[in-house]
Amino acid sequence: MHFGRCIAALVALPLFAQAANKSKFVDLADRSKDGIIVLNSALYEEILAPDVATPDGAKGRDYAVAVVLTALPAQMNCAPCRTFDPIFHAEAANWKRLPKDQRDDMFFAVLDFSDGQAVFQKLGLQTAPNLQFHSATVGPHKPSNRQLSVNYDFSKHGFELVNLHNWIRSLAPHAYEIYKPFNPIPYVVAPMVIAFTIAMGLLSYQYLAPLFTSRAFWGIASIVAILVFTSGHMWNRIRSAPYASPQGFIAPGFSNQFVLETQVVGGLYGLLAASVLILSELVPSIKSSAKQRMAILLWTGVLVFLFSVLVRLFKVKNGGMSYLNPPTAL
Amino acid sequence: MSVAYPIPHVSKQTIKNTSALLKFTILGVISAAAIASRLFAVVRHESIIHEFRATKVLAKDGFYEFWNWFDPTAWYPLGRVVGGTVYPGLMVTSGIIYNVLHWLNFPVDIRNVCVMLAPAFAGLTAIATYLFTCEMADESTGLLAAAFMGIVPGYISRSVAGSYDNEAIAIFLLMYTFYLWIRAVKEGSAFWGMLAAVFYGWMVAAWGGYVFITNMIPLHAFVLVLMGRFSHKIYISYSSWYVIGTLASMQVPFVGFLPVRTSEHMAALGVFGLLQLVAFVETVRKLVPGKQFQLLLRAFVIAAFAIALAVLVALTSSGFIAPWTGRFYSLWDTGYAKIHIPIIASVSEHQPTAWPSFFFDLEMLIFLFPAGVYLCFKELRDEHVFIIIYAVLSSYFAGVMVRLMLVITPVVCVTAAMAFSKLLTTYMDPTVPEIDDDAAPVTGDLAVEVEATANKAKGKKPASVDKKVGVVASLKRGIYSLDTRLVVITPLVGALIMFVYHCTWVTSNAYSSPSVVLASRGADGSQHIIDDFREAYYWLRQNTKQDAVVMSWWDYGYQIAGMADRPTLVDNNTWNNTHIATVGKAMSSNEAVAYPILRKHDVDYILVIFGGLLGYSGDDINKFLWMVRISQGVWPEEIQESNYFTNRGEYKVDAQASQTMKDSLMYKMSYYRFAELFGGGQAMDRVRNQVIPNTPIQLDTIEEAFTSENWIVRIYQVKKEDDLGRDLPAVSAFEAGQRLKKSKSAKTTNKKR
Repeated sequence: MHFGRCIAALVALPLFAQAANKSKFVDLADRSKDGIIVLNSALYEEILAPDVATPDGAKGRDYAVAVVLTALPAQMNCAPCRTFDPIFHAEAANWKRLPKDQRDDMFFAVLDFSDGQAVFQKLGLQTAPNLQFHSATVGPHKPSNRQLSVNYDFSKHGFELVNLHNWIRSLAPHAYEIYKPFNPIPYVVAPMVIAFTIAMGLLSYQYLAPLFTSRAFWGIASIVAILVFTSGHMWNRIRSAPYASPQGFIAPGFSNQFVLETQVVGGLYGLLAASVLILSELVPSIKSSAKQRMAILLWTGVLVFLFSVLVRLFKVKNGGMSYLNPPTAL
Repeated sequence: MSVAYPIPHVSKQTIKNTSALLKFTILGVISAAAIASRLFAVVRHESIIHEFRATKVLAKDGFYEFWNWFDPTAWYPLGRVVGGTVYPGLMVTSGIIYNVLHWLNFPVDIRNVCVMLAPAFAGLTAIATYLFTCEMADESTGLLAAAFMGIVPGYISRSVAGSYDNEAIAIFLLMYTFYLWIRAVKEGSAFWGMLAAVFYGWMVAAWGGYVFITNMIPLHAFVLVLMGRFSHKIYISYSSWYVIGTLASMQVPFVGFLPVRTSEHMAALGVFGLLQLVAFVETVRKLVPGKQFQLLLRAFVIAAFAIALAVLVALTSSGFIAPWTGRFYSLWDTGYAKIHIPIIASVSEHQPTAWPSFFFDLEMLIFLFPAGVYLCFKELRDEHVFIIIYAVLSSYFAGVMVRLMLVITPVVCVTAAMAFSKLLTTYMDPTVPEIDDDAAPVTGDLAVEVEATANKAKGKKPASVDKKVGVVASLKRGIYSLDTRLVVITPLVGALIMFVYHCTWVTSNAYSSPSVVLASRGADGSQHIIDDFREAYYWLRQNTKQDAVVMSWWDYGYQIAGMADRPTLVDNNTWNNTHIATVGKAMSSNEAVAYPILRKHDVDYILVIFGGLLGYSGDDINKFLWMVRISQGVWPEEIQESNYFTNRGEYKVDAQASQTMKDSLMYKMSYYRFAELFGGGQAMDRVRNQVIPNTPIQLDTIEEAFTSENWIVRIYQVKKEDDLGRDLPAVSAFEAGQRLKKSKSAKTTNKKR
């Protein structure tokens, strides 16, 4: 039943398209709250390749289109799509604040997978969301020195409104800004939070002071910090490394890593350091020679075993490592 | 008996003398090993050095000539005032060594001084590390730390023979300044503080990383004050260091007034002020008793501190004091550089450090490091606080930037030596505890004998009263049997041997081929030397005019200047972003746009690095996006990064590559006639594993001049304007025998008829 209706729409489309022009999309954009046009496969083709000539007489679109190919329904299970949706709406709303004559030079549109499987198939898209920017092909806003159609790189620019805005604005026919309504919260809440913190600090001073003057607190904090940093935590932060992959927890390549991998390495470092310290600090204090022998055997075993695990892990990362095969001297 | 193994009876004087001799010998051997392990590169290849023209000027014409030297061949056509735009410490140091050697009638060449400078200073660094560690722990720990420092790859990476770089001397200066500072704090003497300041001044002259010291020392003093450990020793040493050190640092023209006008240096100033206040209050407190008065004083200190902070903030926001410069700011806000200063983010040394790099550069030291920091916490004398701060800060910095592995390496060596030496002494100490719960207690009065053996084992002077107490206490703890001693010591010795193997392997494999000579290994283990860079630079030197301007990406600027001796547009001293962006624009634009840029800058030759044939991944196509980004930063309307990607957002060089990419000068120069090599087969780019289309690439405004053996370096000559006034594309079309289209040149010829 549903399928049949789709066919009907497709058949009806060419006739309909003849009558359509830019004003139809202007209408659609005006009617929606954020200025976003909800497309289907047919409308997608139409908005990109209008059949009607522009007022100048040239054939093509004299407006730009930013269109998201997404998969919002819950059964599609596309978390990034749902993350991106409100951001894109906010960006579209920014554009809608422009005066009418400028606003109509660019449209924001959304094509959901459920409405536009044909388009997804045609473009060979396996993933969502995809944000395409199609510049005007005719008219004053046609860009002179860049490609007419560009894709947003999610891995590079990410899901932040500022980055999205900067990207679209660099392509858009008119400059526009992010609309920030006056936000009273920082002016009210921030002083309250500061006052609260100071009050709490003063009240709990006598309880916190021993903590902040204790050697153990700073010692643990410093050593944990060192372990975290030397096991590559900052790399994970900066490169936003994945936690692990289905293939295993070790990332291939010397300068690549997973979060789990660094946690394992950090744990190894910690255990190794601990066994060194136990051997040199605790074991000599054992008052019984038999117990001491057991402890020494145990912790030396731990030290040797963990060190060999670490070297093994490093060998996996750095293939072809072999100390006993030094390069031939010339 | 109470010793685990017999100890020969030797007189105390002999032990003292022998240990002094041993210490001296061991330290000498360590320095020699530190120097020797850095000579792989020179032994295996020859001594290759890129850029030491400034030092040559200094050696030949003297100090003032160097100071005023204007280098017209770099940054063509701008030129560069070298004296005012470099840290002169390196050149001055090698100049002094050169002059001293000549004064002693050793006729060395300045080139050899430069090549050997880094290994020589590495030997000195080992000694400085020894001195520094001796302040933290005992002398055997110091020797171990010196040995670690001498051969650890994390330091070798920047100090092999021929790497004539600021870091070559900077790490020695860093360690020595820290040593002098610790001495100053311990002694509370203005003399040591002044010495620390002098070496700090030398450090400022040598390396931009001096800011680390500028903040480390105040932080140490500040933490000591917070811990309630303020003393006149700290006051004297800090004040003398700060005043003399700041004045010394301001003598360097490149630094100038920065120490009083930038945020990086404000911590030092703030702590200086704070110490004055605290010292004042302490003095008054001693003279005037009375609780209320002390309360008043405390309020006064806090108020003065708050006011000073407010003034500082006001000055910063009004612009008198410059905020953190981008380079340092990007260490805290790690995303900053990528967006705002792409030229910094583009350098591979400025990438964050993955864990294999830590292990690669430090091996077992990396897990001994936290153990050593724990030992510092256990003792926590003033100097241990310094080590702890240094350890935490530098592990953060090393995690953010690969390059700063260099800064963490000394502290890792020191603390690892502390942990390792503690373990070794515990298990090598022959004394056996008296009380054993499992056995009947040893009877008899052994105290004297035990004391003597304990002293012998440590090789120290006769025990003082304090030491006696320590020895008696230590009798209660210790290791009982010989076999458990061996169980621990054997793997430790094994680990040390493995460490040496690791260092040798890393040094010889990773850090010992000069960046211009590539060594690859065949399947049978045979070695191939790929010497394309030098081949190309010598070609330039011998086949081009002396004043022919060579354009290349900035990475190769120093090499071209040093080895080909030709003027360059941009080089590794990246002081002018716009000029670099201009080169980036020329590389990333099409020929029609690029040609006027090339002609306006008098470019005669363009040099590109292409690794597609050999699989050399550090080539220009891989760096190309940074060229695009940097020029986009200056010309956002003309160059857009997105244009260089395919519609699906991929960076491709095959048939699907975007048109802008295919038209760019860089693409054309890299793949010009590349497909012909494969004789109709698939032209495979081995770096990117993509097939290059067979359609011949047409070059109108430039022509191929030279391509090296393995195609790594390709040099193109820029054509001059046509003698007949035609467009260059029209000329090449005419020569190809095509009919003239209705172009401008066609019209003019018609008119002339």
